[in-house]
Amino acid sequence: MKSTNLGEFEELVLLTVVALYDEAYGVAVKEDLETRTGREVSVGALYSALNRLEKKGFITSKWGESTRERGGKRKRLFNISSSGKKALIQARNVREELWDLSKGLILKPE
Amino acid sequence: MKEFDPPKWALRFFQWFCRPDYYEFIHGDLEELFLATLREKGPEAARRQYARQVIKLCRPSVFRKLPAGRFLPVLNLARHYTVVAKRNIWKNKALSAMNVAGLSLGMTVGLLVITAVSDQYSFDNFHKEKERIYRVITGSDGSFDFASSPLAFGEAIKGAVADVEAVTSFTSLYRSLKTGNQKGMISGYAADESFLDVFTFPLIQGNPQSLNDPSVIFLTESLASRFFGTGNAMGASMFMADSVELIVGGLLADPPKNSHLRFDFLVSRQNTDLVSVTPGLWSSLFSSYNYIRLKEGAGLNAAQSFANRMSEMHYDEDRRNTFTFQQLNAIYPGPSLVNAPGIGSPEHRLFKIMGGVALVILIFSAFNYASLTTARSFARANEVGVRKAFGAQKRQIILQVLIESVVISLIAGLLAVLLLKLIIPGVYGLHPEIVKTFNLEPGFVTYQWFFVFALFTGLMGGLIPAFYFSRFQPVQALRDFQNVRGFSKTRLRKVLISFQLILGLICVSTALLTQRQFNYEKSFDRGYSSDNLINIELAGTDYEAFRNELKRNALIESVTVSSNVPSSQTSSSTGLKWPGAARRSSARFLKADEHFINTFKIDMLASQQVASSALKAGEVIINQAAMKLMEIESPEAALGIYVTAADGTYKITGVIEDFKLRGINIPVKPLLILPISDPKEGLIMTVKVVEGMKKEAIAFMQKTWHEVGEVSVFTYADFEDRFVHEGPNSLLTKLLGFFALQLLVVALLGLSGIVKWLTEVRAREMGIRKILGAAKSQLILSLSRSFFVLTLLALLIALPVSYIGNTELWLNELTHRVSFDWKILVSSILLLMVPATFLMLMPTLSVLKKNPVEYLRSE
Repeated sequence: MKSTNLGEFEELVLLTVVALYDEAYGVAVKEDLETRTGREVSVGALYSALNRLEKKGFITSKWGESTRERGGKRKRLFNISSSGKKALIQARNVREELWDLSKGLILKPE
Repeated sequence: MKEFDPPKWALRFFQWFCRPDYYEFIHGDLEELFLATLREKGPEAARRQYARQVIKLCRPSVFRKLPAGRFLPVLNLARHYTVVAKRNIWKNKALSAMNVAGLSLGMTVGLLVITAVSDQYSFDNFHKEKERIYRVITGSDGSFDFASSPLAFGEAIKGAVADVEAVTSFTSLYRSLKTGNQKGMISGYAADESFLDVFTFPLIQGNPQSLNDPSVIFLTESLASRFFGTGNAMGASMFMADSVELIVGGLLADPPKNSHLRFDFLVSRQNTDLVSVTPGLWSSLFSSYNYIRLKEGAGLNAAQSFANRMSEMHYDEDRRNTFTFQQLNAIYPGPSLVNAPGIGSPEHRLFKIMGGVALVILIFSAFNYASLTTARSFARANEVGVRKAFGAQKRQIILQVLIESVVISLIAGLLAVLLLKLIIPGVYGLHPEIVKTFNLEPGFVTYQWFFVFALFTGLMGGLIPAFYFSRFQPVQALRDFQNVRGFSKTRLRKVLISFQLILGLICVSTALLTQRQFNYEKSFDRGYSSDNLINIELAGTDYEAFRNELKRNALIESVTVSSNVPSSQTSSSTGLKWPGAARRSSARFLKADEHFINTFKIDMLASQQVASSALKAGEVIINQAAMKLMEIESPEAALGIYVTAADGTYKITGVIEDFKLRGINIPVKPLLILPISDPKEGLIMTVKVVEGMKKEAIAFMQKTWHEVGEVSVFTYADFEDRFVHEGPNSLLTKLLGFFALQLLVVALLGLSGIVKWLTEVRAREMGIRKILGAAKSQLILSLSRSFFVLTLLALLIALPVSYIGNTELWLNELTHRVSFDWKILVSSILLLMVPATFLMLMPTLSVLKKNPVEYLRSE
């Protein structure tokens, strides 16, 4: 495995995959991300992030069911792996440490 | 339901690039998104969104792995060919340099012509509804067409024909304009509000409606900055023609250089103080113009039948004018019409010659390339032989050679663009006409053309060598190339060289001939003397005081004031009627004071005043052409006859020789010289200065101009300069000379390359013969025999072709012409042959001078 860091966008995608539980497929992740962050996410950007996450071993994927809107094409469902969970926890820890150090300054009234 | 489907191309593209294992679910996602957007925002947005997503999917992680077996060989081959091409180019630096130089010279000229022609065809393209705009042109007696038409026509057609959406009518003005201490002669149009509706000339400030207000003037930006500097011009007051007060009511962007209409100001044509054309008069058609714009989708039929009706209604049968419509894009370049507003279309002949010569030069340089490349067949034979032995197909060899020539021609093309940038100022400097009519700065579209052009030249030049090399027999090529007869002396190359020599000779002799004709025309006795004359622009000034000062000075021989310069093409036309004439005929006229005839030294054929040519009020001097028009037998018989012209009746008091205002081969029109009745009519002062004192006289005049209280700029032109640059011949001559020179250089470059190679090939043979005791002269003869045979052949073909072509195509059409004689033949032979022989002998001598051992040792 080349690198195990989690980029900012990757982290968001990963968290969304977890949040959506067993409904985490392309369009659902895209829409959830878009409503939450308010920025547009293209299918291309999303899949390149998912692709990277899968390569790093943070997520696994399996075929899901097909629906009529999809013209009979199956979904690809994504699920977090244990190393993905580890990476999320590590990212959170780093963040919390930094928060503890700096929150006095950030939250201090000007 | 097509609009409810995703765009097909996007889907197909996606299918093509997406990796197969991703295809199904991403495709499903895309479709789901498409449906959602379709429901929310409609088909349009959904399709757009779909396409956007597909394009954004183009990234390495989604892209399928390219099948290695499919693309690599092609890429490899292309790279291989480029590498070989690069090596071949580097291996023969001298030859490649010559190749590139020759090609790029030829291409420079080609590019120049492309730029010029594409500039010409870009004329008037900036008008928004250009397809629907037409100019009304007037035909008279079927003899010639006027670009102008009566204002009455514009008034009549407005609203009368349903297919016509808008009409604008205007007259051209050339008046003095004054404000504060600034003054000058400016040209522009007296137009109506629809002028800015029909045409796309952006109005920066002001309201187009105000063009209906007689007291308003619109200025172009450059004119406004000339008069008002950086200050605000709007609302300022100006005086036109000294006394007519106008208020600046609008600022226009300068008309683009590729507009056939040129103006510095617009005023209202309701302003009767300025506009002399009577609106309702159908006979007044020489300086007013009508343009119409049709409704979208409408044809010309209705307008044309209306025009025919008008022509029948308003003109008598014996002198009926007809009206036709000329599409805006057909105006420039287009047929040359009388009284064209702005700039008239250049002669078609010029275009044809330029295009023809450029094509010749191009073919020439491509041939050069071909012959230089085939000349190296000796060196390339091994390479081709090896390739063929390994199983290369004929077409692979062809492809390789073509790629090589395209690479070279692209390099040459780049160089040509640089060269073009360098020579543009020079080309502008060739002739003042060029700056006025051409914009030679290449634009983006032109660069695209350049590229296509370079590719084309490369292919053309590569074709002959490609087929030539591909015909090699591998065994022969590999075994003993020198024994393969016919390679060093192939017929093909002989044909190529003689073809180049023939073209070179034809062009050089043609250039010499036109130069001679031009010089002849320049020194031709035009019936007046243009020596030591200086023209001063009067701009409607009160020039009396100035003239009196000049008369007193010893540097000045004589001074005359006239309405037009005799050399310019701007004299006005008028109707002329004489006793016994059934109807008015058209004649040109200019107004002048009493010193006109003796300042220009025009020969008088008959005159009422003994030894004087003074012109008094109510008198007119006519030229011979006018006399012939009136069917009077002798100049003496014309004296005393009363004629009606322009604004009154005049008594003929003198007949002058037909002095030639324009080119000597343009028939002289009937001309009347009328007395100046109002000092304001004097627009040009012509001063004859004492021989050799031009500079001093100009300095004196400049000083005096301001001393007598003139505020406007002292603007003068040397009459000779003006004259030399007038008429199409001078432009043609210069361009032809320029092209011929290029051709010559390219031909010599090619020749020297071939000769250099030929001598190298035979160096060993020469060495042996030298050792065996051959005389130097014998060797030179042997080396150059084929060259001289070719030269002779070229002479035998080229000179008769050039002679017949030149005399038949244009020389015989001229009344006053030079002859194509032996002097031209000899000088063109010398011009081409002296440098050619020199180039031929140089390498030959250098081979012969060297010690033969040097050539023989390597074997």
